[in-house]
Amino acid sequence: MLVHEDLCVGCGLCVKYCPVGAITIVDRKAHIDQDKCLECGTCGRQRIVKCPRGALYENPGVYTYPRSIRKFFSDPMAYHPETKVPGRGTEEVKTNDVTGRVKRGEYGIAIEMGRPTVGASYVDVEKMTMALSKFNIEYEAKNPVKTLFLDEKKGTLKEEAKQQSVISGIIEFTIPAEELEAVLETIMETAKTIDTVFSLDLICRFSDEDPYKMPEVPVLEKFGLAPRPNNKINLGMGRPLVEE
Amino acid sequence: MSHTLHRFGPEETFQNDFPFISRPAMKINSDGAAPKMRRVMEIALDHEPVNWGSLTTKQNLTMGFDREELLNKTEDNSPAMGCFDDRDKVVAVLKQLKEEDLGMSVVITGLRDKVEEMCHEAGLTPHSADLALGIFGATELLPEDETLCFTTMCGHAMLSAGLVRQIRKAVREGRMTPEEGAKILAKPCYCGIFNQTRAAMLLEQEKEANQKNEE
Ligand code: SF4
Ligand code: SF4
Repeated sequence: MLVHEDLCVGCGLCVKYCPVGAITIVDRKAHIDQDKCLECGTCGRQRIVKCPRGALYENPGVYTYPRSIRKFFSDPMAYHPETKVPGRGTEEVKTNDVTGRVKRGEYGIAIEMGRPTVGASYVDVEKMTMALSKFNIEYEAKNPVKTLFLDEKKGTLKEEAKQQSVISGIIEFTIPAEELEAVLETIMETAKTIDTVFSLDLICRFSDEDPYKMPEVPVLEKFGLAPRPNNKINLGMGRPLVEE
Repeated sequence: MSHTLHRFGPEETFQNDFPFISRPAMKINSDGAAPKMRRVMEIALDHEPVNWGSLTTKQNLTMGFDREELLNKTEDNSPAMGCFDDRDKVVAVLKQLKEEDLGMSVVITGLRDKVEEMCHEAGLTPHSADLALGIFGATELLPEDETLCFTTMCGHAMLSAGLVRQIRKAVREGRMTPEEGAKILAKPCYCGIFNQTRAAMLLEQEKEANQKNEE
């Protein structure tokens, strides 16, 4: 975002709304640090931030590559040109009853780099994808991160992507159940080397034997992991229901 | 975007927190889905969600909501997104959706026992779970837990820690009611999954704890 300096009266109202602290008041004018700004769009939304002068406006270059990477991975209202899905990820568990993306005997993993609140540079995303390259991972085809690979097998990302930071970039893939332990070990080891946070998601099917019992994943204990008490459940209402 | 996952805070603060999402699967059952999605939204809105949002019309329930505009702009790939603060309302929505058999996928986020119980009551068999395993990496960069309880209610991280701290302080100091504070915090979340009832409760709890400390 940019500021019309001639309009801004330096009231400071917008400052607190920026999730990454990119706005400061300098010489009684709002100043947006263009390196820090992730182009999430929040400060420019008049229904949220009631700038008395309408002084905040979208940088016209924000949809031009590679700055557009910031926009598409930070502003949930920007539709990715490749996936036509707003936001940073995919339909994941939301439509798993219809897509069958994660089947019994498999786990879906999402590593949400930068989430919550901190943001991530694609240098950190690459650290994770390179570490995962020892596995034969097929990244989720509809996830926009897939478009940023230089060499998907090696896990390397395009140079221009690595110069960008975003609110979050989601590394998303499905693995056979027997690989879970080794993949989690790699994720946890890599966690020690990155300069941001990530949220870790695990998608699994409910069992046939007790359809109301939350799936149990014994291997998690080895890593001291316990799912939060609040989770996201697909209720199986989509049609046609995927048959396995 | 698993944006209703990873809501942070003590377990007891999720008793009345049920983000709701429904959507078609692109290219599988999305062709001609608009009337079905519209109906999903009508049913959900008839049962008074605490919040509701739309990335198409760029509005949520807390900023003055035009129900007809939202319904009329429903397209084949429009998701239905919002949040309920009452499990009985969710069960009523699910029963109605089941009866009308619209065939759109539905996910509910909530405490596992509660969601299981609600499925039972509505006669639904859950299909898959997305489990939140936690937050890792340079966790020293995170804001304090009390602030994370609010910021994580907007899964896209549009709600800044700075604004949360400012509102928490204003409520603690009696310059704003918890409800007023919750309404301000709900605005940046256009998806409408931010739960103002939970936010007001958290603000109230902090205010009371602060008053006790001062006594
Ligand atoms: S809200 Fe508007 S007038 Fe106030 S500091 Fe920000 S840009 Fe300037
Ligand atoms: S667009 Fe987002 S990241 Fe950039 S200054 Fe505005 S609020 Fe901050």
